Amino acid sequence: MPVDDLRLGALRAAIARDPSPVRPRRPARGLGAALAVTAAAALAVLWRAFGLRADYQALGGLWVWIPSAVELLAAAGLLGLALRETIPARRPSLAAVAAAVGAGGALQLAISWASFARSPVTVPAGQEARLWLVCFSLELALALPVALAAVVLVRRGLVGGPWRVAVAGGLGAGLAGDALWRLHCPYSDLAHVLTAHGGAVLTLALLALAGAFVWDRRRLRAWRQAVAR
Amino acid sequence: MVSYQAGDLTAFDELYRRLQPGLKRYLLSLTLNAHRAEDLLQETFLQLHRSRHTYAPPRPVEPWAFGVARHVFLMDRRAGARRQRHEADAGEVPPELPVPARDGQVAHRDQLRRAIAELTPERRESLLLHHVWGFSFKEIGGMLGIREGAAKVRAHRAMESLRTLIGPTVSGGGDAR
Repeated sequence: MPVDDLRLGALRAAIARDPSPVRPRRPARGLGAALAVTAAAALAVLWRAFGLRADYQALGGLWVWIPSAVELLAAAGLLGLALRETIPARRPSLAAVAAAVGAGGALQLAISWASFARSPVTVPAGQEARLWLVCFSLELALALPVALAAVVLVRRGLVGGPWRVAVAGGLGAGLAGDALWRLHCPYSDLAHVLTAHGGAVLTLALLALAGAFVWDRRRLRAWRQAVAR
Repeated sequence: MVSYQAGDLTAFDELYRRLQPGLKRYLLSLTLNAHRAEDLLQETFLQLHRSRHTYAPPRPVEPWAFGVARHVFLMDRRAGARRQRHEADAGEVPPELPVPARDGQVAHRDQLRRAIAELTPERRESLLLHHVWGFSFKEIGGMLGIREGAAKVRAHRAMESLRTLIGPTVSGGGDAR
């Protein structure tokens, strides 16, 4: 029997072990937007318990909601880029990912600076460490559901570059958390915002990178073992 | 492909018939090793099956399939699993290495094949994906994770390198399919 026929027969046998129909994945941008909107909707309820930021009147409603909405859109864009990386032949370029990551970071800075310029609320003296910890930890907590949902979606795809997925996805989840937490936290002095809020966003991106590293090592090991059999 | 996603495994035979020749030659162009390309071809079809939900109709199937093949090649290269088994074949230019269809005087094809094998992997890949398999530079960018312009530059530089290696008999531009 020709080698090609043998190989085709082996392929058929392997494929027949998993014959279940599958549904095509939804487009990445749709998934990214759905993640951001779902996070916002679910966690808006939580915000009712904490209440909106104390300087709401001083800042103005539009200045509270619009920057957060813009940040959520940016988060959706980054999450969409991360998910596109898992679709063969739809991978975003490194330049696109770098530009999106840079723009996301710049957006958070710009929103923080604009908020401070409009309503400068500084952290009370002696409260810096406590409020830093509160903001850092709760912003991370808000971002985690988005991050976990993104991980589930990413794992269903075919991950080409895990680093791009991690940076874009981690930053996207971080921005989603920041967009929501700033609806409550009134402190806009840059020292607090950059270290606590920005620190949370950066930490999530770094955690995503660390997770990607561990996951990538495991899949390479599994690949070597499969080949050796 | 839609039938295949719906669970019709007989559609796999048609998919295999249509994709196997191109994927085999693509993997050969990546590995420059006939044995390794055959092994990776099997892995590619298995991966196509596992990842069939990532194909979104009505997009063309070939770029998606080539993207999966590339993923398999990169994973294998990173895992370093097969390098030792096929070291004996290193240095040989496979006779099946594809060449652009237009540059086809028989006497020149072997010379062209050797020159293509000497190109850097990135330039060779962009050149062949465009001039042999006819993918657009936008499609190539999506497959390689680079900008469309970067894919164009790589292919252009590959053509320039070929002209340097074998003289002015190489003509450029146009799709081969």
